Amino acid sequence: MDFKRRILIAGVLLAGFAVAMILAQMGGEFFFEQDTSLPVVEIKEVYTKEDFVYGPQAFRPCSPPLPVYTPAVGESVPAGDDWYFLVIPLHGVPYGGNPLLGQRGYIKVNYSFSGLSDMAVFHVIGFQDSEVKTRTNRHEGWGASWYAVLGDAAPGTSMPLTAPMPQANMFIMQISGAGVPVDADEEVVVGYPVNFKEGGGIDALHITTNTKVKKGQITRDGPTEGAIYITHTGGSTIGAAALLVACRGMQDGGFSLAIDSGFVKEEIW
Amino acid sequence: MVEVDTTVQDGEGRSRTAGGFFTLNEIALLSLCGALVFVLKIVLKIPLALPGHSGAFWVIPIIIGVAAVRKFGSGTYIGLISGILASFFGVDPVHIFSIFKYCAIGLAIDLTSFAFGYRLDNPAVGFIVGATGNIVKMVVNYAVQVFFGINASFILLGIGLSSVTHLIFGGLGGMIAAYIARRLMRAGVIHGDGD
Repeated sequence: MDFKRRILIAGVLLAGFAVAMILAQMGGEFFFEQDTSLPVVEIKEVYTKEDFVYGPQAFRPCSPPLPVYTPAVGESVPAGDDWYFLVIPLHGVPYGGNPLLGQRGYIKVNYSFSGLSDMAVFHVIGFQDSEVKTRTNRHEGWGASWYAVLGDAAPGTSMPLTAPMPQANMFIMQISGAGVPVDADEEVVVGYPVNFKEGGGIDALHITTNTKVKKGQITRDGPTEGAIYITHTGGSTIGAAALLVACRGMQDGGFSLAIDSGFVKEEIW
Repeated sequence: MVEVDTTVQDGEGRSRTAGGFFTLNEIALLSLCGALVFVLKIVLKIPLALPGHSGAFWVIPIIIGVAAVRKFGSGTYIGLISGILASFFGVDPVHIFSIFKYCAIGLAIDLTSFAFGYRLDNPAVGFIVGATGNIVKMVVNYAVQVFFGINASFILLGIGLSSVTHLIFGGLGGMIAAYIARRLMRAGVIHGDGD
């Protein structure tokens, strides 16, 4: 076989492979639509004690795992560092990259706790859709951001039957409230694939109280009702974003968290 | 005691240790190329936000290494070295499975280079070899993720875009490698076709 023909055949095979994969993706979008989390998951407005999906545990997902909360100097910490997690999908994803490639903006989250005991900490987690890679907010050092809310309600004596998240890097993260079937005919389990690059994925997403401060800041004494903003400064786009709300200790039956989130455009020019 | 010289000359006038497939010089060159793949992976961080974009630069040392040595297995050897380094330093979340990924890239480049008679100074061949290497890396990467329990439907939903970008960036890297290989051949640094 002559050289030119070999090149032509190889080129056709490569192009054919790419076309086959595009068709496979299109077919997957059609057949697996119900397995993808964001388009079909029902985002609740009010979360209760029954919606906790993970815990008790003292870490949040990353590779290696990150702490949930770091006490200030001189701050006393309860003996048990047990945290219970809500995983709350957000309406929209923040984008802070090239304005020619996407609409820049952040996510505004209005929250309101009722019956919160001890403390709750907000973290953010983002999932890429083109590659199975995960992002979260940095915990310590320059660019660290998280948001803690202090509650004054009495602690509860029990929590729903939850289990700690796997410390392994790769797992499917369950979503609070996603146990409710989204299709009347079919029970659908939805979740986000968690896969952190070793030591990475912690500088793209941030929690801030001031949208001018994109990298965010650490807040230790937030009120039980207020607003936070999820910002993005990474190069890679995020396909889906969720709040990790960690509550310290057991919560009483009167616990509830109302969440209202939405994308806010930023005009660059 | 009589010292036996085990060095023999191959058909191209290069010395090789009797019984060995690669000469010492070739092993040194391929090892350096493997290390360069690892270094490029670590050092060059381009916020392009497109899957497979790193393939545009790390296929270059593999292709140039194969173009210089022109022996089947040279790409696999480079992949093995870079895979071992990536595993030891933990640059990928899959750790020891990095070896499979990098070896598969090397093997794919070996096979395609062999199929085209090691004419790696040709940009079209460079594109095909680079694109094939980058796509094979993507496939092995997905296979490892499925092995670790990632839902196949999540992978399927991104594989179309990923395949196209892996093909394009790998191909671009291959074309750059072909250009460099051609210059090196003209300068007499490495042997070209028919030399």
